[in-house]
Parts: sequence; structure tokens; C-alpha cells
Amino acid sequence: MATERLKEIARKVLSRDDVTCLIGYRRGSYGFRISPCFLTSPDEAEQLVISPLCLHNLATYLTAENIGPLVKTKDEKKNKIALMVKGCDSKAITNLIAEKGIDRESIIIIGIPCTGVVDIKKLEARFPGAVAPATVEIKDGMWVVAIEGTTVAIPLDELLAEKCKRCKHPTPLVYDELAGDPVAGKEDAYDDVKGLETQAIEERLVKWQEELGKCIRCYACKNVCPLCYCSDCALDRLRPQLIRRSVSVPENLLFHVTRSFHLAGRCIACGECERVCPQGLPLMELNRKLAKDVQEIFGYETGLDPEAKPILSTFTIDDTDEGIL
Amino acid sequence: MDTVILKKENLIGFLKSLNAARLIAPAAKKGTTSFEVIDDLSSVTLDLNDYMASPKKAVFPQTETLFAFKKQNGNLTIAPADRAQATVVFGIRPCDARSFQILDSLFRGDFNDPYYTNRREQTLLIGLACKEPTNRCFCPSLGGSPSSAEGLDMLVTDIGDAYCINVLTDRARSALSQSAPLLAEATKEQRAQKEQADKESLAKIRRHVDLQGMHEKLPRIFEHEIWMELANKCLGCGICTYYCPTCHCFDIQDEGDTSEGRRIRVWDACMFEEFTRHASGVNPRPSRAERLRNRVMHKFTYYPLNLGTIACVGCGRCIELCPVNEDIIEILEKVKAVHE
Repeated sequence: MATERLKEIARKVLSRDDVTCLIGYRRGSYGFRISPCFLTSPDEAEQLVISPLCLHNLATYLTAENIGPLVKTKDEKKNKIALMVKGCDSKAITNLIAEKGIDRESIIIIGIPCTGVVDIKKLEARFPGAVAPATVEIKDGMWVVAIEGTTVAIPLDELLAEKCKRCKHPTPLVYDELAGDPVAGKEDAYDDVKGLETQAIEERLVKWQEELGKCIRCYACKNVCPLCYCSDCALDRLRPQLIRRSVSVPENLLFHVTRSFHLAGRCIACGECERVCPQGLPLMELNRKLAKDVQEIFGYETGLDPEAKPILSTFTIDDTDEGIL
Repeated sequence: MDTVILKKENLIGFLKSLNAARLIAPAAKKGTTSFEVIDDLSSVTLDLNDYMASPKKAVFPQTETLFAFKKQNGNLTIAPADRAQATVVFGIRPCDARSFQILDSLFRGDFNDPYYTNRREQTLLIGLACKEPTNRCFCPSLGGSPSSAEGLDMLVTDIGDAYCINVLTDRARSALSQSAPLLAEATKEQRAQKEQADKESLAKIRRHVDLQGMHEKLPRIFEHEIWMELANKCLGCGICTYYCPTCHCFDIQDEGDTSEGRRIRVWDACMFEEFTRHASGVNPRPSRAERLRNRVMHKFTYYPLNLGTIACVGCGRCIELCPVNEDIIEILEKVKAVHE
């Protein structure tokens, strides 16, 4: 069992003298929910879980404000953080290393070969009301949902998260330990952005004004993003105030367009922004379109190589000057 | 005529008969249900009985203009805020109606906030008893119930083939002046049906937390390491506060330039780093631990001490929407479990 293998790895890692904490997944407070957890001793490894409900990209905590176990201790020998990552999550780490946002030596990566996560909104709409712990696993090519005494088998397509339908790298690209057998990737033809690309420009404006008009500026998309880690974010600035605090279509548009441009060539398509958005904004459409453009224009795919030079921080004399702002 | 019956097919006619300048009700909008200003009465959906965005924006909008200013040929003109329109909020959940009372204790307490009060006085609240409480609901733990009438002008209960309406205030009676042809006095049997519906919905609430001693305990564990542990996974976003029906913190800003602009009030969230950052750069709540602690203590200690009521109604929106399963019930249970 992958979970047993994981626990064994976790115990070993947490026994090391140089590890401050392990960031992983545990059962959440109710129903299908899983919670991120921060473990500090080998005995705690028992609570770890791996399941298609482990949605969170834990790499975001590597660049979160330094608190709790993540405080950099004065003891230089005890300075490593271990964390569980799926294939997509590992690309965030690869890119963070490439950007020199984190030091490879300061982390221990426990890779989880991923067979896909569920779309929690679809799952909870289909099985509402669970309070007692409910589980989802994959068995014989089907989801097996166990909720309050009953078990239901459901075809994979029906509950699979969108991002997983075109995942090229379900097995982490960078890891120190691997808790399971590698999983083969799928093709990605960027079918999901064709709608946006073929839409007339006037229609696009109408659509995005409507979509972004729903935004309430909770900044969950920004805060959950593993690659959104500027210590001094332009959005928080008051002087000069680049984006006004009033919540309106033009200000929301400015916020989201600025953010997606800042993620061009950096977004690794973990889809966390879209998952956490309480207003259901289709944010990945913007991010994916920019990822496709970067790939077509510069031949660069984000998050594959920790040694890569971040594409928008470098230039060659052959670069196109189209779209220079 | 304090308990009346409305046939379901007459709902739209009933809403019309209220003659509200502005009607706010739950409406389906692109896959979500939220409180919207209704132009087309047929878009009102009561079936879902669940919506995420709280209706507090009816009295406390996310962005509001306090006044506008303009300088022209050396003359400065100030345009005051718009006066509120007479508004009916229809279909509000009992927990949300209780939240309006909690907001009242602040905005109409020691200091009377004219913007809030103006809207509040123009707003009639018609509640809809919850038929299907969700797995995040815990209103009974906060003294509420799925059929609580507290803070409401009218309470509507679905009794199967009709709506039973409790008329609770004089304002409600006068609002119904044109509605009489659509309403009939409830029979003894229909009243019993309502009572039965109330019992059934209350029995569906499955999460509970005992808050005995909570507001006294929290200050005693102010420095406890539990706040660090609880805040580790918090992302510091504004979901819990912006969806909370009782959260009410705001920022005031001038937008525009020196010749023309407006002063606005806009929601703010104590979970943001910038919320308490001083002009000097010092931040008295430097990490998510202090911010999370403040949010919990504001609701369960400071508000009860200062204003006599817990600032939580048990709607559970923060629980369902939190991206990292930061669950207020779990937090309160962990606080209770701390050994002093």
C-alpha cells in the first residue's frame, strides 16, 4: 500500500536530526475534507493519508510567511522541511528552485505518483451532507466512494478534476523519496483554451467582464498560489496604489490580468487558484492560455527543469518582440 | 392575522404585492446561488435553500461611496451618499437574520453609523426557514435554529403544498397591506404542519459545539502555542471574513485625484497582513497566528464582552469555503482541549 510506504518514509524523515517538520495530508474535520498538516515527530506519521482527496498543493507553504515550524531556526543543522508533493505540485518546486525562491538543499521532497484527484465540488454536489469521515479511492479503474456506510463505484471521468484530464507529469519530476510506482502521463493539446482563442475579441471582453465582475477580492487565488510569493506585493501597496480597493469590474480586471501576466511562464497549472475560488472564476483559462503562448513563442515549458533559466527573466536576440507591453 | 398561508403558485404575485423599490432574494447565477437585486421575479429560487454569499451586503455593501467631491473653477462641491431605497430582503436564512442583529449592536450601538442605519431602516427582512440544513450548519450551538424568527419581520416556512408565513412586526403588517387577497388565515392543521417542519429541520443539524466558558478561556490562553499550530495551514485569504455574515471590518479610502473623486468604504479582512500594518511599517499582528487568534477572539471574546453577543451565528460558510479545512468548530474544540 502506498500509504504504508508513505508512513515508513515519513517516520524515517522525521527521525532525521536536520528536519524541522513534514508538511503532509491528514483526514480533515468532516466528510470528504482533507487537511494539510505539519508534523514534527515520527509518531505523528501515522495520521498521514494519500488519497484522491489530497487536493492541496503543499508547495505553497514553502514560501508562506515564516511561522510555526517553518520559522528558520538558529540551529543551522536543523533547517530542512519535508513535504508531500504530487506530480503537478512538484513542478511548483522545480520552478521555485529555478527562480531561486527556495534552496533545493533546504527541502526533502516526498513524491506521490498521482492517479488523479477528484473535483471536490462535483463530488460534494453528488454526495451532499457527509459529516462522518468519507473516503474516495481508485479501484479497478473506478472511483470508489465510501460515505456513511454505503459504497458507490463511479466512472473516473465523472469526478476527475479538469487539470488531471491532461496531466503530462503525474509522477513528481523532482523528489528525494517516492511513495509508490511511477504513473504514466497523458497528452496535453491545450484543448481547454481553444474556446477562448476562437472567441471574437468583443465577446471575450464581455465574458471576462462578467466573470471577473463576480470576484470579491478575497485574494485566495493569490495566497494559495505557490508561485505568488513576492514579499512586497503590488496589490498591497497604498502609495502608489496600483489597484484600487473598490471592488468593481475595471479594478477586478486589472487585478486578475496583472496576476495572470505575472504568472506567464511561471504558472505550473496545479489549478489551486481555480479550486479555492469561492466565486467560481475560471482562472485557469487565463493561466493556461498564457502557458500555451509561452510554449509556442519561446519553446519553454514551466517546471520541468530546476536548472532552467526562468523564461521571462532571460532573453535571446532571437526573441520575438510581439506583445511587448 | 399573524400566521397566514400563501399558495406556492402565488409566490411571484406575493413578491409583487410588497411593492418594494428594491427586492433582494436568492437567484441562480452561473452555477452559484447568491443574493441578488431582482429585476425578473421569475429568477428567484427558493428551492436551493442554500447560498454562499451572505446577504449582509444589503445593509453593508462591499464598496460604498460615503461622498463624492469635485473641484471646478476653484469651487469645491461635495455630493453626499445616495439615500437608501426601500428594500425587501426575501428568503434570508434565520442565521443570517440573526447576523443583522449582531451588526446592529455595533453599527447602531454607541455610535450610530448613518450609512448602515439608513439602509437598515429601509430594509424589511423576510426569512425562509431552512428545510434542509447542510453539513456545515451549527446554528443551535449559537442559540439559533433553522426556524428562528429572531431579527425577522416575517418568517416563511415551506409546509409542502404551501408557505406558512409568520407575520412578526408592525412593519411587516403594513408591508402586507396589498397582499391580503393572496393570503388566508392558517388553519390549526397548517400550524401543526409548520411545527412539524421546524422539528424535522432542527433534527437534521449534525454538527455542534458547546461554547460554555469559551469567552473566558480564550484570553487565558492568549499566549499559548496552539495559535501557531492552528494557523500553520491558514493561507491568510479573506474568504472566511468576506463570507461571514457578521464580519464587518472596513477600510476608508479616497479614490480619484485632487480635482475629482470619492471617499469610499470597502470591506477589509483581519486575515490580511496589511490590515494592521502601521504607517511606520510595524505590524502588531505580524503573523497568521496573531491574525487567526484575533479573528476567533473577536467573535468569541471581545464581541461578547463589549456588545453582549457572540459574533457568530453558526452558518458554517467559513467551514465549507476554507481552502485548507480551517474549521471553526475544530478550532473551538482544540481551544477547549488546551490544558491550562
